[in-house]
Amino acid sequence: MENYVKQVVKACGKEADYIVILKMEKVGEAMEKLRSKLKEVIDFGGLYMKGVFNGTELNIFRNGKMLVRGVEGEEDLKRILNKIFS
Amino acid sequence: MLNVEEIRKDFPILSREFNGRKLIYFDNAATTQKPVQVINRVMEFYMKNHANIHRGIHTLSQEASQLYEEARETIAKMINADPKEIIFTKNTTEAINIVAYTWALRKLKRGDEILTSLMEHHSNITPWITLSQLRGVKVKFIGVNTDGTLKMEDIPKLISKRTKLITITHASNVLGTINDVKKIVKIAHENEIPVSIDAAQSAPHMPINVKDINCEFLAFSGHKMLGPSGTGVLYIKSEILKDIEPTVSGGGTIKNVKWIPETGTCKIDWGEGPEKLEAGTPNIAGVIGLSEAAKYLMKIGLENIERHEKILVEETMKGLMEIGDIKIYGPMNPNIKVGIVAFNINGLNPHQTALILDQYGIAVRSGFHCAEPIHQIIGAEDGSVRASYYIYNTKSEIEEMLNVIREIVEMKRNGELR
Repeated sequence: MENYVKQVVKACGKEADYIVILKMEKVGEAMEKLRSKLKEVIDFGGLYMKGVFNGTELNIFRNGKMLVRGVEGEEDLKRILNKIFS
Repeated sequence: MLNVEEIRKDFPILSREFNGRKLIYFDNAATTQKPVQVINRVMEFYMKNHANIHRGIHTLSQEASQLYEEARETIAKMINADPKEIIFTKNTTEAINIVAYTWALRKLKRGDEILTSLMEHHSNITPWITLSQLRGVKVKFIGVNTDGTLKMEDIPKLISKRTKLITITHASNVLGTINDVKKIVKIAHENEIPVSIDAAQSAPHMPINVKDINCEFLAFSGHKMLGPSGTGVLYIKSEILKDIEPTVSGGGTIKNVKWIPETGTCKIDWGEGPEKLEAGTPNIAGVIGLSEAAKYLMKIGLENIERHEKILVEETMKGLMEIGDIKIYGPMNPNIKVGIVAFNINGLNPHQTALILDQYGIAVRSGFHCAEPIHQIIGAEDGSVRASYYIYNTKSEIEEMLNVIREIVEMKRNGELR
């Protein structure tokens, strides 16, 4: 995960949502991993891409930011990101 | 009218580009950008005048002290206060906490009541809830109407003989609603209750006259009015300030500290002026930068700034309504709002909207904006998207944001987005 993720920001909301900022130089590689690991991937006209990983929804934006929704907390988020980017 | 194109030349950051697009900065309710005049003044202070203030007899210290005290005069002029009533803080939050833990903690007793509202920033809720736990005081909340205005008619009903403070925001940081604080102070004073005003979202955007409002306390942030980060202001009416003893104390807060051998302890005589609430070395350079920011705003005219922002708010709300499928929160009348528009695109999480806008170089805030209760009241449980404006924002920037929102809404309508 550390190879791909630059920063994690907790976003306020009803659920535990996080903004994950990918390392710019690794965005291409990260996108490949995301596309291969995520299920139900939909591309919304280039605005963003949505997919599901083990029941967690990830919204991936073209500037290398991801909105990860409905995780239990930061530890849970790290566990998910580690699995995706392993 | 503001000459926005000329003003924009003073803000170097506005020429930055993100994702190949020029930055559109609509997050001014969080913090504002800084003009070269402020940046240069801070730099000049460090290069020419820097020394610690007060009690230094060397020339450099006297220069720095004079600049610091001149800053107090400038801020006092901006809100029509006496310079002796101006305390420099690091932000509005610290200013409100000073009211809570110097004045209220010593003044209020178990069973006393504090009246606040449901449209407050957390900074004007949490100190009072904490105080209720420390002192056993009760915090009561004024409600908010569905149109985002304060339930003014409830205030007299909520006041009791035990009400010892009304602490209220001048302008909501979510809805932009401007509260009639002058009327609230009048009601409060009829019941011999002092009033503390959170002016974080009003002081940078409209003329403030503390003598006319007649409040006892008024707090605002320097960084939200073009000043450096880590600067804020607390106004305390002189007759209240003279009786206040500091809670955070030390160097600068005292007249003298005498060792009394007979009692085996020290006797403290507190300072008399605002410096008694500015313990330790303050943010001298920041305060001098803040003074420059205040001069900049006064030169433009706060009444002109207010008018400019109302035009931008009207433009935004009109555009959002035309697009449709968007929920706008708060009053629909720009005349009772500061430059803030909170909204949600139906069916989209506010963070999704903000992240899409970010791709176009448009900086807005999403979430609760440190004001969760008001989001519960307006039924925006996931939070909202907030566009907030200032002197350097233009109608064409708003049009660019509306174009992106229009595109998102169209895609949603066509089922291309969810």
